[in-house]
Amino acid sequence: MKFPIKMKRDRGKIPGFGLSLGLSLSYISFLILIPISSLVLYAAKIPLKEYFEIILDERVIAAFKISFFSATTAALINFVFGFIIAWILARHNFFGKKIVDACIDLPFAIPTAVAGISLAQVFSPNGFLGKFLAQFNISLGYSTAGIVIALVFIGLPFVVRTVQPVIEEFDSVVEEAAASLGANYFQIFFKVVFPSVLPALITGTAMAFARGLGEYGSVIFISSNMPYVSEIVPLLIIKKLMQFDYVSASAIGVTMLMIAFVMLLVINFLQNKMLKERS
Amino acid sequence: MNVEVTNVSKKFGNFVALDNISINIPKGDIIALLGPSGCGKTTLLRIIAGLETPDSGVIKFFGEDLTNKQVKDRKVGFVFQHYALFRHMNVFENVAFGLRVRPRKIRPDKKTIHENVMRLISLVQLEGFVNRFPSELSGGQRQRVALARALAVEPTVLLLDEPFGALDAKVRKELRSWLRRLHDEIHVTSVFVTHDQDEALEVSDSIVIVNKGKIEQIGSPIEVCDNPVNPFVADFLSDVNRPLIKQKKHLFETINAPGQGI
Repeated sequence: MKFPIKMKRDRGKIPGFGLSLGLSLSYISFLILIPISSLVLYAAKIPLKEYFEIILDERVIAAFKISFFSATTAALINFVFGFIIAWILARHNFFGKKIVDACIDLPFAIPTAVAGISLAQVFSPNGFLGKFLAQFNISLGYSTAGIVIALVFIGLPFVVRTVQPVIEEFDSVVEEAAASLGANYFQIFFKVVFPSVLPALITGTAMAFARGLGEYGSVIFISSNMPYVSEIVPLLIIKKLMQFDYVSASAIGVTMLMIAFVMLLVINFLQNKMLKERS
Repeated sequence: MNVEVTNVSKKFGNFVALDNISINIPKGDIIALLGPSGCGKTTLLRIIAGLETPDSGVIKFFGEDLTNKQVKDRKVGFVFQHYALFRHMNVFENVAFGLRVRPRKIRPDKKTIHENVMRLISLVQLEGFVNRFPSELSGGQRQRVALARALAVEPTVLLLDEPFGALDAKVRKELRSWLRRLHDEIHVTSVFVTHDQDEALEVSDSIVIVNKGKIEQIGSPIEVCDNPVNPFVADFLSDVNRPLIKQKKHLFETINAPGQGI
């Protein structure tokens, strides 16, 4: 005969595993799984041949390339600068730090369309920064570079807000230990501090990347939205929908979904591997 | 040719942490900085290491003035109270760190590093744990990794900041007698900070009793116990483990008795 006490111990101190798992699963189902599977089910009705015709269309492929390229580039830019900003906020005190700290969250708060319009204004050839850049024959507004700028803007808080607490928690005694063993500043940073922060930095970058893939509102205002040149996948889907071409829209949507899912899965896997080594 | 601390003072704001302290540590000895919390003993240790700069005074290791040198150039081994291991490295990599960060000219080759590291790991009796990460080790094991890591750089002076402070009583006892035996083997000049009288008496060759940033008494464990110079020292050492001292005293007398030489 088994004692019920043993069962309890297996599930930890606080009871309610069954209830909370049930709640979580139904919550995720209603919010995420059911809507998404209805999309998948709709797309599943498309004959395979037609599906590939839609997906392998040159304009669609170009849109995919632009979307993934710009989301990746923006995420990598945020990887670098998000880390630096998080570092400054976590490690140093300076005048106006509270204000800078608050600014980081603004991209979360303001409507993306507003962000897109203001970015477009600033970077357009007549805008404040655009005018300056135009002297060097650089035009960032209404171009592919514009997409990247919008996605950098949208993605920044994801990186800063995941990395900042990890840097704050990092014990500076460990840096002293490295110094006492003869490491110089460069070695302390790259061999000790950075590897400890890297898992969080990857999480933040992955979130920024995922957000960038789906971003629509800000991009369409700053991009020139030209097919084959600066048309992102979400915009293409909207265009198909406006033409009542639900089949193409859902085929493209499902493809986007699958690629994004696989990429996030791989990132998660890599990160778990990294974390397992040390916890 | 000793480790010399001469007239060192240190203030934090208005708080006087160290007031004109001088100590002379003979080569190969292990000494304890003993005192109540906040007496300045850790500050003194950090100044010897170069983790803190003194407001005035001189630090010399075996004749060489190191007062203005950074910690990385002092060739000290530092063991921290809470281990301060590198979480993302396994035991081997932790111990190898000090050798791997050396400038290329004086960095040993891979084979030598491997040999040295394995020798140190067996010295601290962690042969079976080479590939473990710090989170997979107990407190006592972590502190031994920290010790091996500090010894890997072949330090001229080994500094230990409350090395057993975070461990439970039983492990602490085991580890401190082990440290004493280890020191008898490798004879590196060592300074360790503690607020535990028994620990100081058992491990050290001589004890420096610090209070409010000043040195109250310096002497061998037996001297400070038998002849405390003032009421503070007498009071501070009043509840020590007497049998332990007797045992040690007995041992010393046997060793020092004429005709039985060692």
